[in-house]
Amino acid sequence: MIGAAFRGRLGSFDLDAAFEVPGQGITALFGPSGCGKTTVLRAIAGLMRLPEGTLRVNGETWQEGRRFVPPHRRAVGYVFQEASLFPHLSVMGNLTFGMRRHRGSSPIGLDEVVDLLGIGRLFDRHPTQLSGGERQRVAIGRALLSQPQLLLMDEPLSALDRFSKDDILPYLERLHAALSIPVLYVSHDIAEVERLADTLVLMEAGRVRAAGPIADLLADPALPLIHMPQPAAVIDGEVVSTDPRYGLSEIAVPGGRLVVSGDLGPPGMRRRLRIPANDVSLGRHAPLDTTILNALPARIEGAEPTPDHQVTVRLALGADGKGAALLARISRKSWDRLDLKPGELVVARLKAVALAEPAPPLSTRVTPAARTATS
Amino acid sequence: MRVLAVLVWAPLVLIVATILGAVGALASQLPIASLAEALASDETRFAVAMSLRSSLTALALALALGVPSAWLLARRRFPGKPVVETILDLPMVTPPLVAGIGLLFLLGREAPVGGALSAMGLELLFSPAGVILAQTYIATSVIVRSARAAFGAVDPGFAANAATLGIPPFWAFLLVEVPMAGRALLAAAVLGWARALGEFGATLMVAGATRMQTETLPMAVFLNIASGRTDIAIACALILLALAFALLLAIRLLTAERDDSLREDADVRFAA
Repeated sequence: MIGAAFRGRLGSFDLDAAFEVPGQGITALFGPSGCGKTTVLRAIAGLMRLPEGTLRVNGETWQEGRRFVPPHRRAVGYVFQEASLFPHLSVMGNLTFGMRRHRGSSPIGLDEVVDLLGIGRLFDRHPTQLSGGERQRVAIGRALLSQPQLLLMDEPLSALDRFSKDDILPYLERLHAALSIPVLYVSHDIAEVERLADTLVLMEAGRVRAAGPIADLLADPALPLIHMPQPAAVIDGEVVSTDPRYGLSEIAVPGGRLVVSGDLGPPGMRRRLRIPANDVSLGRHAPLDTTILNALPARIEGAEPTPDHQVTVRLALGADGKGAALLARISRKSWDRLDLKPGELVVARLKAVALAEPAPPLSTRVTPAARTATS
Repeated sequence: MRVLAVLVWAPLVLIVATILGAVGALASQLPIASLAEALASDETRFAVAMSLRSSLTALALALALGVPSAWLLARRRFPGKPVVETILDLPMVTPPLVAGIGLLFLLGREAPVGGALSAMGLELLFSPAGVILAQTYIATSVIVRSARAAFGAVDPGFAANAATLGIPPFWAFLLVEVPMAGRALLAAAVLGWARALGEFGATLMVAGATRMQTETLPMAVFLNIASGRTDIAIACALILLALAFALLLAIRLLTAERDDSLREDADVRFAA
């Protein structure tokens, strides 16, 4: 469990932020620029001391009252916005720099990190000879090798171009899967957050608006996320089976099963799905003749009108309405014509279900053709 | 175009010619044989040894005092900082003679500080220790100023970064900030050393001009010109010139390499 509460005035900016999040998985600190996300992250690292603050990380108190553990005694790894590799050291020198501190009984090994981040061939290079994405990967590796109990990332992708971002995101997802270190991830990009975060801390003007599981917050009518122009639901599921003949995978999610295109890995593999509200339509009956593969029973939880004569319908999957949260954006006219009401059972038709993460690398991917050939 | 060329080139030629003229006049004053003899004389050799020993000791002291101070000035804010900075610059702009008189009165046996030191058996005035004191005083000021600029050019984020990697502040200073400021710090040290080598006014006041005792190279020039032994004065002056040239060249090379690296970066950017 990570419990943080900071209060203080910085220039003309008032910060009063408190939240409690699980001590595992990726927690995103999300909010518009200037809302105090980075300040909170720096305070957690101890790089900034706010006069009133309490911070507990998995049972250790790092700040409380007059107690303030200095940054070098906090087992954190910090990845800065711009990869701040030491320019006087090689990649190898940078990676091993933080290894002087050894704590805990199961240190993260150099080989493991190098493998995970794909930075083996960069060892002898100088930071100026790396691309932006490579620099950031080395910075992440360096942070991990200092054996942190908590990894802090301050918009690690914001200084990168689109191409480098796509290059680095899969590595972040691999980290997530391979390491059990909790991550606090600052971002103002909802796409990144939808893709990576388990828990979301929503910040606004120096305050925490809400904190909780990302799926809940994305569908919470009291929060701004559902009112964005392109709201979406994220659902974590597990691969049940794959159908090489059609190149499809069946994913079990709370309250139903979804068919997704592509071979998404062996049964049991965890996958995150992203379902844009604009790709979900509603009906009273299961469709008979349609090209849509995914039609699931769901219960209406509520509906939020939008300024442009549409309605964002909040749904819970399953006939009992106890499954994953789903959003559907439909026209006001359809809502009235079908006479839909909260509590009613409908059939949600999903035009598109996309993975929130990209497909696995080509080398580990079994294409339908290859499967047919070997069987 | 032609007028402009004359306007900019003529002053440059004049300045260089004057400097070369002065150096040349100094060098051609003596026949080679007597110059060699003067260079090999006991007094010249004493002055060289004295100058090297005292200036290197002064450099070490000035670095030990100046580098931490420079770091503090570059990194921390504290009340009265502009006043402190102005005070630190004072020895650089006041004539060394004035600084010397001040030190003389501060450290005289009648003064509280001098009296206390004297009671502890430490006699700074009119001794080789006085030479070191005067040179340290002047060199520290130069080193604080240049080293401060050197640290100022290093983003403090790197030290913060080291802290998050578990490196305590002192080690972050040694392993990150000093190496990153390295070249500029080295240039600051060379500059401070050059100032210590050439120090005259403050040394004269604090250590006195005693032949074969507090006789540094500048002091030897002064003493021997005054007493008519022009050959030794010229020999010592030429040694000072050679040292100054070597040190200036060192500073130039230390900073020039950085310019080259900038140009390389620019080339890479162009190529990309």
